[in-house]
Amino acid sequence: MYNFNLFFIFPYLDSLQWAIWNTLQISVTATFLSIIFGVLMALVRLSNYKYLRLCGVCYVEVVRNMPMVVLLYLIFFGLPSFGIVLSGYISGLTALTMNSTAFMTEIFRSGFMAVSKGQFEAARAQGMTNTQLYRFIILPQVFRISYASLGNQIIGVIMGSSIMMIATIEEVTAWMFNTGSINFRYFEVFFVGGLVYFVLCQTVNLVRNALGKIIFKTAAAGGPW
Amino acid sequence: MILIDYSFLLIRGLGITLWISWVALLLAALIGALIGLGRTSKRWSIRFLTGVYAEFFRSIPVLVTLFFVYYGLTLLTGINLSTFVAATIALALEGSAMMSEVVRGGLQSIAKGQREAALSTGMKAWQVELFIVWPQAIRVMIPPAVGVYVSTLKASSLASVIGYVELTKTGLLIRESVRGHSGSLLILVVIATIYVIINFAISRLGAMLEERNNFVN
Amino acid sequence: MKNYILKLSSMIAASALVIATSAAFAEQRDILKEVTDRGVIHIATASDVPPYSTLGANGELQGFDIDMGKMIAAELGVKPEFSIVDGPGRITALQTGKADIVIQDFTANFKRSQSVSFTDPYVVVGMVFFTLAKRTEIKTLDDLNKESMKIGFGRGGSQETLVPAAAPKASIVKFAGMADTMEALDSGRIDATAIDNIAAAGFYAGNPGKYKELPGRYSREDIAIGVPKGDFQWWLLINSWVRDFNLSGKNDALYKKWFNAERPKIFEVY
Repeated sequence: MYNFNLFFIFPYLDSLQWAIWNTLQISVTATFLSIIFGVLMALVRLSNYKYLRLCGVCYVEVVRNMPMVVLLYLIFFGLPSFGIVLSGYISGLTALTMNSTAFMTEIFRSGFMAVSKGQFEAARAQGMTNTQLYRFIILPQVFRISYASLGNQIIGVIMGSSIMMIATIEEVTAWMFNTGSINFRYFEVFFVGGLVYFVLCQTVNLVRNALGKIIFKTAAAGGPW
Repeated sequence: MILIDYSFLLIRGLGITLWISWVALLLAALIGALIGLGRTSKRWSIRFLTGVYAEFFRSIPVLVTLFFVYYGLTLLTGINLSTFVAATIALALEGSAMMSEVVRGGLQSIAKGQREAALSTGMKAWQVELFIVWPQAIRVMIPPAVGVYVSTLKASSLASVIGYVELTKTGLLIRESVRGHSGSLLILVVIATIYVIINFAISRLGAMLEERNNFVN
Repeated sequence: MKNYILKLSSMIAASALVIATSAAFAEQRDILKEVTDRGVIHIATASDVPPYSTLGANGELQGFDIDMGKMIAAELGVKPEFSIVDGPGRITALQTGKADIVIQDFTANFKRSQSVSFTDPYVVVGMVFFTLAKRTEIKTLDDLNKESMKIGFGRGGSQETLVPAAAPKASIVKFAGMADTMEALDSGRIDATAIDNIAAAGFYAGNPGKYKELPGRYSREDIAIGVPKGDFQWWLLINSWVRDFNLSGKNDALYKKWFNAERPKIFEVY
């Protein structure tokens, strides 16, 4: 008879704290980096130079079509053949960021293309420099258009962090595996682990919706945004 | 090149990956269709429950679902699950959440006017759904469904963690055998290349189907 | 907002329902009958611990453990069917009935015996630490017992508790399996690893001169066959096979074949 008893998990909640911290740390960092790289790569894909565009397309297609597990193995176990031995955290972060960047690129590219050409022309007619153009007109609009997809992608990053256990990062899924193998209470362990992920994702959703209302409300009211 | 000896294993691994993703997709389509239908229901309770289902599987990493099905579900029900069955179920569950969105989008994309026009000719509601709405909706659903197939294919690589010998696991096992000789870089690059080519080809196919859709319409 | 609270609470309610109905199964299994009816015995084993068990180029498993499994199957008059499991997987495989026996460098200990049953040992080993031969600065365990030193091993094994006990100051790095661990050792990602002395010898034999073992045995481990809990008859049967295996010289012969050495006698050391 399988007795479901959450009390068996209590001694391991301490290590769970660290696991959650690891998950958050790598997810937040990867998200942040991939947004930056995503915007840059989107601009690369939209650039006027054919070869630059080709590089962008190659990057996105190659990384997007590869399972992240394989990418992680390539970085973690493949690179040492070239003498590049990255730590577990850096390898995991690189894989997660590379993967997320590919998706962010597409999100931002759609965003950029959705901003009507008229905006570019009107701003240039006003005499704005490129930097001003992007900073005050284009990027805010791109951000607003891509907002929902961004939220989904952030959740995607959190989901992706669960594979990082292969790179020896002790995040939540690794905690589930380790704790289960010590006390064999797999069912309880999966329950707690699943709950953690669920709470993390729903929090992102809640924050996104709340933040969205604030940002869009201001825009609708004709504010500077 | 040592790798030529293993080409048979690699092809078999690829076949297994394609096969399990296909089976999972079919299951996901079935479940997803039901859930997607529920999402468009007039009754709030059905919309709510199906919404919960979709949210649930999109908030749990595939790996966790996989572990749960393989280890936890067997403990719960006492039925032995092979790695193949467990992986298929997990992939199907994950895919069904995605498919429910696809189905919902497809159904909602059929203009309301169609339904009203059909109903006004005296057809019953179920006849309208079956003969007018669904055929059109399915054509709309196919391109995103291809995307779900690619997604499932990528997720199938996680089955390697529970020991199911699909393409990734095959590569890892080959890696162990050749470890003394050449290190794992070559085999990993080969595996990655296979995935990229296959997924890219399938995605292109989906894009072509989408263009045909628009052209026909 | 309200929608989310509703969704969350219904999720919790659903989970509670699932748990409540998990009045699972407490059937008394008759494994021998199952196996003979089926005509097949399910044996769970590893694939990356030479020479206990490795995966050959043709996809076939081979090794000491595999031969044992085949011998047991032959004695029972059934076909052996092997499945590959990892550290935690072997416990669950027995708990859920996926495997009838587990032959996988499986250490018998009290904690595990609460979930599964072990036969008498067929091999007794001790945990050793080893590192790359070129690391001349690492001579004993004291050299490893520093914060800057990284010791790695695969998850779910006995090393999880033994290594921190032996080298509390060292950093622990956990990998997905022994294959990954060895690769990490080769590339310098970790400074040393730990596994039982026989498995270690298997690695040394496959890579002459590459590795160097640190002096000292840091555990005494009875490597035994694991069987599911609750079926005494099955345990008696497999255990009596193990005793015969140990006493009749079959173990000596098989040991010599795979380990290339005389089998050390199994003594009870109290």
